[in-house]
Amino acid sequence: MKKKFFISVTALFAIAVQTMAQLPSVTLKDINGKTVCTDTLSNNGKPFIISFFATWCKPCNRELTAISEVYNEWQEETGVKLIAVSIDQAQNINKVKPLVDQHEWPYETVLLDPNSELKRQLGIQMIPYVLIVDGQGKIVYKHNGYTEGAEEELIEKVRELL
Amino acid sequence: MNRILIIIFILVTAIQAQAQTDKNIVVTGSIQSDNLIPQDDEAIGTESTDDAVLSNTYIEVALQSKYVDAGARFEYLEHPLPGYEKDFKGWGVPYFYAKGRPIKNMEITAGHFYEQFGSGFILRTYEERALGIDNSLLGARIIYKPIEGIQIKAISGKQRRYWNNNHSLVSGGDIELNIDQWIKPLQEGNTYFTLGASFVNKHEKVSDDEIFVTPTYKLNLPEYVNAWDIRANLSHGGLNILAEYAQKTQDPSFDNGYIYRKGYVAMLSTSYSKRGLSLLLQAKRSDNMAFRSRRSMNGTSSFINHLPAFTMDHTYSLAAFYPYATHPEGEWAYQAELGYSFKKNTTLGGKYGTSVKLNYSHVHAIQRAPHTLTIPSSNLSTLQLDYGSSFWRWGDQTYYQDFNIQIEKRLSKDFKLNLMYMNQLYNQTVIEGEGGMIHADIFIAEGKYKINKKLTLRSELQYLSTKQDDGDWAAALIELSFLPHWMFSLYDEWNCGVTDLHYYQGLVTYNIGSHRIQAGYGRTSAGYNCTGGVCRYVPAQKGFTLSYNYNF
Repeated sequence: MKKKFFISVTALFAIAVQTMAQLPSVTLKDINGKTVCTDTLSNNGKPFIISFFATWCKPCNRELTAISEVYNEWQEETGVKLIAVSIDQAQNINKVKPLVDQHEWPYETVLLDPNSELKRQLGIQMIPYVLIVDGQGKIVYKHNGYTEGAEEELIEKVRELL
Repeated sequence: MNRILIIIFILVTAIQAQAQTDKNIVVTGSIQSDNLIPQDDEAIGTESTDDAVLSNTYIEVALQSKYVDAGARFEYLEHPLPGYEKDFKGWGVPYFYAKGRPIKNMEITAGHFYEQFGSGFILRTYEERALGIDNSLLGARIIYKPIEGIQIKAISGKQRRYWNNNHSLVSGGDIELNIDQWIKPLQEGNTYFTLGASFVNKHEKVSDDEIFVTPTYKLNLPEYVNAWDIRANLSHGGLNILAEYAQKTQDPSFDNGYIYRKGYVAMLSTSYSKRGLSLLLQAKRSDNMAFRSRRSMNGTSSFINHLPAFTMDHTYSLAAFYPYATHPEGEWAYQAELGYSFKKNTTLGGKYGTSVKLNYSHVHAIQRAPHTLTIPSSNLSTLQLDYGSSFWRWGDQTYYQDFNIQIEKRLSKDFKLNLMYMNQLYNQTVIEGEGGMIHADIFIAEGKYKINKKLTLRSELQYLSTKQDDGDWAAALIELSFLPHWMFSLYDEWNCGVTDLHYYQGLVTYNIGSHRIQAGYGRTSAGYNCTGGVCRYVPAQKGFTLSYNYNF
């Protein structure tokens, strides 16, 4: 019993080497119904942010609202783009676009991941969760959870990439 | 068990060998560990345990390369947190897979997989740790896109139920047509149109169950249950329409009291929105649609399909105090939502704008007229085998109703206020078994104050007023965020109506990159923990908690 436990833990840790990944390839739809393949996401050689959220997730909504208030400045300064990914369940996907529009969030791409496929492939357990992808398509930063004001740290990381 | 470990070792070695030659290998994974050092507390009625530490721990690793992916998850649930089903306890590697892309546009998975057809009316396998749900299928799946705009899926497998697999074999297929990818004018006109159809078959041996209705009458159970689903989704500009219908053949089960009736579900959902304005209207009727891979099962496990509640998911604790989950026998559910943002520098908008949202949900019984059979020469004079139910007719009971209004308003550069009022009807007898109809009024105020660049204070005040159940509740939360890493929160929930008990919790959270550590102490009341419209009963608990999350 102890031995088996030890073996399986070592097996999993042995392969848990740190590498910074590219985005996995998952076919999703955006809130307008358009089909999008996640490995084609880019921002013309500039970094972009991916933010996982759900309509029912209050801290996620606070984070996306906080970023929306400074998004114009961010874009003018760094050219960064934010892609939001909703993990709302399929039977609630019609709630996502209304939420985005009502908050007047300015994000061009809002993807739907109703059975958490992209979320699972990235090993994400909890939302809110943000990633930064650099101009070469590599994931260079990940952040778990949202602390009020943490968007400042996010844009700081983006600036470092320029 | 050992066999599984050997398979994983082989896969790992194979991929590591490939990794040395191919630099495009990607390793991702996560660790999640939630722990409780429990303390007994008679006042709130905690369950006593001999374990000093209770833990739910998961470690997951996935490897991706150009042609092959593989992954596995180790779970340690030998001394689980309170409130999970008995069979949840255990440890091992219950999830592993290998995925290959032999030709362009084709992906084959062997091992465990998660899949969803359409909205999940006839098939959805997923993992939701907060609920203790992992109903993955162990078998094979093929996803193929023969030409642009068409996606075909085929699956077959046995469903995981905690540390075993159910005996029945679940197989199915799905096709989705993205019509807009073939018709240029549609795309150019910003119109997207998708059609889909799917089919699921469950093969479960009759000999697994023998159901006697009298000492001499045994039910003739069907060995095969078939289900199908069709759907259409149209989007144009701000308008979105989703219609879906599914049906399944007779499936006498513990859920429906072993009756011989088909299952049905129909949904229509429409939304319209533009900047600052949104409208949602949707309705869903389900009837005898509980679909499990084991007909004799009850509780939260072994579901093949997924019917989440069609009500608003609340996150404020007292608004979520009486949560609703879909009634498995059937229901009519309606939801309407209206959102409007008053612009800056208008009378109602003020200097920073004001956002208002109204939501109304109503869930009602469907009509049910029993069809019975008289059994000669037995004590049981009649036996219900089916019921009649006309599509539009209601039964006589309301299961749930919720009307709420939320106002979001920034009052100054540093202060933001959210207000909510909610009026709720909760049929406790139907949802929990007893208690009658609960009528509650809930008031919530949330304020967020930015003290300086690094410090933000957030506070919630909540009050739930009801004459039924345990009467009134009051709750208060205070949360201090200290950038970039720290968060401190204190919460107290006080039953001022009947028991006069306090349920308190203090938490400290430290976040750095994708690490998150949370330590706390407190006691929580018994109640339903709901995620995405599915609920799990959690008993009262008290003690020290420590959680760690990491993702790489």
